[in-house]
Amino acid sequence: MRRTALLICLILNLWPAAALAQIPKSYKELKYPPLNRITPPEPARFELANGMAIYLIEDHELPTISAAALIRVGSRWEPAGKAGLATIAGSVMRTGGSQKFPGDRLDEELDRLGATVETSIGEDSGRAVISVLKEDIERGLIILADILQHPAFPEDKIELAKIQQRDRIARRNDNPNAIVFREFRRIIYGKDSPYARQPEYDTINSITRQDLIEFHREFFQPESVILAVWGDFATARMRALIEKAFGDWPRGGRPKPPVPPVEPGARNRAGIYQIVKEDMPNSWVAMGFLAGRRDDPDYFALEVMNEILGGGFASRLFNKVRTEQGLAYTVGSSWQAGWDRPGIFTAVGSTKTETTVTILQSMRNEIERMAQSGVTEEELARAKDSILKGFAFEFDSTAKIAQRLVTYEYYGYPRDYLQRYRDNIEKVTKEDVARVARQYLKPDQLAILVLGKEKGFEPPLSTLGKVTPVDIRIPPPTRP
Amino acid sequence: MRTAPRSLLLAFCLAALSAAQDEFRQIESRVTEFTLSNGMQFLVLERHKAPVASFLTYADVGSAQETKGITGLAHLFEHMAFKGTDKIGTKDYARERAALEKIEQAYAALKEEKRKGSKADPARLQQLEQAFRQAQQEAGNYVVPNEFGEAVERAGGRELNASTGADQTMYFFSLPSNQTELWFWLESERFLNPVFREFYKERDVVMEERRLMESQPVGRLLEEFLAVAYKAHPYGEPVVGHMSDLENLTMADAAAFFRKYYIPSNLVAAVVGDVDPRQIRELAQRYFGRIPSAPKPEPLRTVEPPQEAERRVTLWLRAQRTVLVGYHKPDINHPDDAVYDAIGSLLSEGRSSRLYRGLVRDRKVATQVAGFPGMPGEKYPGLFIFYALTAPGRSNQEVEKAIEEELERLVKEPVSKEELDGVKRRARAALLRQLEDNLTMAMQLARMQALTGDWRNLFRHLEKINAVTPEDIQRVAKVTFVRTNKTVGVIEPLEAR
Repeated sequence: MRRTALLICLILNLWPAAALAQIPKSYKELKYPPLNRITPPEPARFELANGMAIYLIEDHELPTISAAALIRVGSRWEPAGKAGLATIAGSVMRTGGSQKFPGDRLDEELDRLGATVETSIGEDSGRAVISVLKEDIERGLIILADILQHPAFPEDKIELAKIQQRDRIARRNDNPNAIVFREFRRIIYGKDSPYARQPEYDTINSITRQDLIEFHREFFQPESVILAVWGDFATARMRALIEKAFGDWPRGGRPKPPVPPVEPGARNRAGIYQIVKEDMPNSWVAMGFLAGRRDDPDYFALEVMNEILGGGFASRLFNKVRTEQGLAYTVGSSWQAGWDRPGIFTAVGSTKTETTVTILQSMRNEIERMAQSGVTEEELARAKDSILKGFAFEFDSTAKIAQRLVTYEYYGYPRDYLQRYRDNIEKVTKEDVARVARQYLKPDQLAILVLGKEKGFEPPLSTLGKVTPVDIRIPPPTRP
Repeated sequence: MRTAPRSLLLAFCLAALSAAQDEFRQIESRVTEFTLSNGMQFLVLERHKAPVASFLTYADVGSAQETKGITGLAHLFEHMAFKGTDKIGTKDYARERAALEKIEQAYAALKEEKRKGSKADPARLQQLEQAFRQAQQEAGNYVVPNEFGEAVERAGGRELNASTGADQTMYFFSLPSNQTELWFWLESERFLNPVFREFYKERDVVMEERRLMESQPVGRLLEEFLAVAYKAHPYGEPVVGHMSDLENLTMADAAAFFRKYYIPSNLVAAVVGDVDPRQIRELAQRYFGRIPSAPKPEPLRTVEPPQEAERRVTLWLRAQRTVLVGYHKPDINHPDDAVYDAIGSLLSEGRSSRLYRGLVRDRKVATQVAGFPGMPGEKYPGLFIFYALTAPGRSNQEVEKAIEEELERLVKEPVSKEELDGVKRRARAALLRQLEDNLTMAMQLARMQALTGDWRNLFRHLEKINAVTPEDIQRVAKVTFVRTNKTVGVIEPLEAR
């Protein structure tokens, strides 16, 4: 008895110590089991006789169904004098509805169902989405099919959309962060480029119902639509529902619209640009240049380079400008490669007025250091680990998987692009990063935009070179 | 006889209701909860869709725990929680510790001289500033910058962040699930022995965050609005803090705040994803069991007195017209909480909502409008806030009047059954949508546990919304939306010259 008691005492005494001993001194000594297998769902792909492409993915976790489509339409194809036409068309398709499903009645029905059916048109694609409790999917598909084919474009909803557009124009200089991103884009692409032009009162006022009808007729055809549906359904039945909803939409036969080119001048926008806004306690600084596309062979090395320079919570810009210098809350960079046209590289930061030039120089120094001396093995390993070890997150939602497939097909990328991306990131070496940094980052050819008070910082902006003022005043309407 | 059909109808309704509830019961059954002997609570929801998991610590402390002079401290502490510990972020902690003490001494000396104001000796000030800079530089030699964040990124982590609100501070990230133990290691160290290195640099960063808020018209409007809506309760203070407080916060303030509020019984952890609850429990005991227990801090004393007069604030800015209207309402544990949510849904969810129809579609006085019950928090009595962007050429008064008319309608006419059914169906659909995301679920479970004492209220709340009647809505609207309970904040444009 006594012995047992003693033993128990011993165990009790030792147990916490043993438990504590299991905690390693450093997290670096932790040992992990292998990752559970990623088992992505198998998507079914088929085409309707009219050319519409469909992806279906069953997911029975919750009693819901979602759908998302990309449609080959976008503001980059709208006439320059009608900027805003695509946005208004995308919105009024849904708010105005169709003859069969008038917008106001749709609003009521969908809200009662707790369902969403929405359409919108962005710069380079149109988008339609459905989100419903599973019993309502047939209704959702029929509604979407009808408004995509037969939008009514009623005058009252066009006017409502125009009020929204005019309000957006009026408010576009209210928020400094919106100004800096927008104007930097306009500096790089050029303000009249299809990738940077913006609606004005005159362009909005000139849009008529006839314009919307013609725009719709030109771009909406089944062979321009790629639709993914995922959720709690059986594939065979869903296929039948889609055939029923979209099967009798006749082919349009119009060819793919060509991708508008970026103007040649976009490659050379070096200079210092300034926007004066006196009611700010701080300044925004953005610097960058025209970047490339995702199908460039250098894209993967550039992604890794940017991750080290300005991505995330341990990048050089974050460490230097925020942590070490305490100059900024927001600072970072991004290599925004386009799917089918060159994107933009930007480094952005915001700081109090007094340290405007300090942050500018600090950011530029980091770009210069990257261009001159590349990265260390340690930094390379961090960036690659961050991208590669987190690969499982690409599969944690069926929505991500489905939308990815649609995006790849829309822009003509292979279905296994994600796998190729992963393999290519894995192959990136220190030398690759050094080479692309040297080749692409030209510190003396940056476009640099400063937004904030005109004065109040030392040295003044003009000591850095010739300053080009950027006028962001909103042109008033020339006719009512 | 008249009761028979009624009970039949009731039975039918109950059957439909319970079918809807079954799907949530099934999810509830996948939640495991346990409390460590030091008082820290854990919630675990298994979800094996992909080999990943989200991890969250909910600290029951927010800006509402701040007093005058230390506004912004809860949020600054949140930033400091990324600076590491005696084991993370240092090259040599023994030496670093001595260097950090020197910073405090140098800062105290500088502060004392500065306090003399115009009588301060400029030469001495300069000298003290130099000494302060030097002390920071020296301590900086021992720092491994952002090691906490780097450890998460190197593990392939995602969604690393934190947030501070009036009610709570949340810390979170997601990991490939095989590296679950990394969260336990990092997060337990974080709340066991945090080191406030680079404190004064981070204070500068937070001041920059404040300036970002100040440069946004709506940020400024909200700050002024809350300042008049509350006269006693700390909900009236900005989470980010006042500039003069930020300029004077010290490492010692942060350490005292940590000791008082970051005690195990004030923490709720939630883990959602591809994990084994038994393993989580074992790891929780091993890692978080090390944190010593401490008595709960005294609850907040101040209760906002009933509002007795309408309050107004006007900001003249180089920005377009914007309207905020708010009414005081009870906290999340009040029996009418679900009624307020139903009112919010009725008024501002979807294009068929009353506010969209009334203000945007029909009267065309606004381009956007929304209503939020529960600003700036829900732990204490908060505000039902309405937010509208005034349409071009229309006045703020027109918007305010239109909102008022919609609220009066709520009081006067009972809502239709169809409208209320929509509210209930949308609540169910929204709850289902939340279940699709690990991090969202971790937040919701922890929040309900901390604010109401039971995570199950996340699902019970839906049942309560299902029980809301048209009379409930009229009754609650009638006591809430009254003139003397109203605060209005507007932006009027100051045209640029």
